[in-house]
Amino acid sequence: MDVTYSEEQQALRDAVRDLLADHCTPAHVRAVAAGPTGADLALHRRLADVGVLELPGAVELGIVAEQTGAALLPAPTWSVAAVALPALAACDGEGELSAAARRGDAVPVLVLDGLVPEAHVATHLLVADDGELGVAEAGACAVEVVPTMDATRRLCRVRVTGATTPLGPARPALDAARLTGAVTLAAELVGVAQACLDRAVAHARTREQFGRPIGSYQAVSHRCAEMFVALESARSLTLYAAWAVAEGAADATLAVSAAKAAAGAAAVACAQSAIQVHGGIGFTWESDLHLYLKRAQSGAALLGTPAEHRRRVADLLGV
Amino acid sequence: MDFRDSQDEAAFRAEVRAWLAEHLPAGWSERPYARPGGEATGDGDAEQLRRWWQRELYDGGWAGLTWPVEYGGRGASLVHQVIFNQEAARAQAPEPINVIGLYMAGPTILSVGTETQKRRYLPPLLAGAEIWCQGFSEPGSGSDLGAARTRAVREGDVYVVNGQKVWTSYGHLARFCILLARTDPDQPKHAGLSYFLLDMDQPGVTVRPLVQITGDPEFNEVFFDDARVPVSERLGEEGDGWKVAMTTLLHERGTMSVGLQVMSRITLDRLIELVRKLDRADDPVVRERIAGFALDVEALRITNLRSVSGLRNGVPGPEGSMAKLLWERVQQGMGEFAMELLGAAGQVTGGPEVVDGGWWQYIYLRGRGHTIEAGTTEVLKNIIAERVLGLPRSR
Repeated sequence: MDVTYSEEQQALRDAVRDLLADHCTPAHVRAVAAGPTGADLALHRRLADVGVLELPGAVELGIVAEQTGAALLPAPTWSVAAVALPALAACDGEGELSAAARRGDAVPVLVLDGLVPEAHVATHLLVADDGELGVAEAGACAVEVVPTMDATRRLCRVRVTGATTPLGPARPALDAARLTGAVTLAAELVGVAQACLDRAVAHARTREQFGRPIGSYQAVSHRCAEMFVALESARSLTLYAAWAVAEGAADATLAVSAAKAAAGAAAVACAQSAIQVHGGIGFTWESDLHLYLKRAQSGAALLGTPAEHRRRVADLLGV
Repeated sequence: MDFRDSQDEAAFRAEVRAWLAEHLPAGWSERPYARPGGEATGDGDAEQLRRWWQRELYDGGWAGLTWPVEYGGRGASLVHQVIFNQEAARAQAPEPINVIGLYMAGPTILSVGTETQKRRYLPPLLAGAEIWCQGFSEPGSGSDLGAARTRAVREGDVYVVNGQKVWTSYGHLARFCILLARTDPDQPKHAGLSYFLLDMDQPGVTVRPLVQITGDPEFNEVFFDDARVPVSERLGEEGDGWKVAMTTLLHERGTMSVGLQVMSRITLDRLIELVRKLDRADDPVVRERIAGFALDVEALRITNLRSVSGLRNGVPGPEGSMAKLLWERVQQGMGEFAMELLGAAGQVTGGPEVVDGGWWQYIYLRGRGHTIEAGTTEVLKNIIAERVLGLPRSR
């Protein structure tokens, strides 16, 4: 039993953190979010170049996602690495499309639910139909971007209009995608929550009112302590869930639901608290906090809301 | 990252499991709900059982698992301690009697004590032959521990102690007390304190039981009237009492919370049974609440594993305060929810209609103390804010 990251895993975390510090600054995120697609495919390719699309399993995906969440990465990396690639691996092994996706040349996106993240920048769409998973070229689909709150991860409606090529049975592909996708999204939400706590603490240390830093008032500092408890609980559940998925543990489904429920709730709560701690400035468009709040809300909603996952936890516990 | 047992850990787990199966009294797992073993309930049977159990653990080599062999321990890692606790929980084994000794006094003596002190105190502590209590809180200083007023005045080879301590669990059973007392009234608050290992078996010590909200005399007031403690039984230097006391409290919140998780897991399992028994399992509101508790209980389990992996052989960090906050919230919350579920039936504490022998009323009432003992919610949030997050000191 050793619940710490290995040296390789720490190196991966540091490499991604450094890359994002250089290429995914808050100003860059804003510029991309204001652009037509809201997605930076060059940055996606940079991440591919450091091996982010060739990771061995859910633990490593989580390590990366925590960093991309904290940096509000506006790129389809999660959709490819944690949703499409596990689906492809579960139904046709490592085909040509997977290989191209791992190099960053192809951007496959799986249609899982009604609102599909990042389908508008996909090169290929994976669609389940009649028990079969098929792949369609982006040109063979009608993809419509839906106006949504979170500008850093656009959501789309997808309709297949042309031919699809069958890949294999859909069920295992969809199951793998939901499991790995949800736990990696939980890790992203942990990153969002951590960034919000960091910002709240930094502000509370320096902002003065009534002649002293607001962080010296317990009304403020205790709110920050509650953010820490929510964040670390979510981090614990997510670490275990990622490991359980990677190892194919018997309780992986339960663990993922627990993690996704806790991380979704923690990210939203931490973003909301960070805004409160910042006061008026936190409520402005100029502050980055609304970007975090909206990313927290979209992350919490995708692949099962906290309430849906808590229901699942109760079911799986046999209540 | 590996949550699985290593080969050595798996072998150890099997050994613990087999030993517990052999040594727990027959029919142990089918016994009706007893009040949790963690409390000195003043119930003579429970006390005898817990004394006996500690002796069994000691004889079996399970007491002080992580302590060095020369002081009666086994020199194992904290991971082994966690495995032992998990298996003890699975078997719902009783709590040993000397919890203050095992989790607070012992670790502090191990890290600060002299060789003579370690050899004198640790083996009988582990065997449960000498029970320990904690003399920190006073009527005038609860959360503000640094304001303690109990005086220890040096006279030659001894300190003469006068004052009063309160909320002293196991005070009525204890042979020794870890005592925080003021040796220099001229120094600012924290600087004038020293830490002692005081023999309770002397005329200058009077113990009076305090009855709790549950009706149990679980803790005490302790009065010191010219009580004596030899200079050789001071732990650490004169004036270092605050620093030593912090070591004790970090152990209390860190190491002890590894055991607390066990209590919350048992409570959750019983709460799910209660929901079924009351035929409320189809109620979506009930299911939502249960899931929320399950998340917290599981988060606590993993958080404990994270801290154990992170620290290996060191003193627990202030992160232990987070685990304690999580624990008190879920443990108290489950008691409150059980009362809500029971409704009017929750009023019944005896007779043929009583549910689960009145266990839930006990969990509910005892739970009010969880957010006060071992650092109040408010003090723990201050610790997280100041020592973990680096926020300015609150006033």
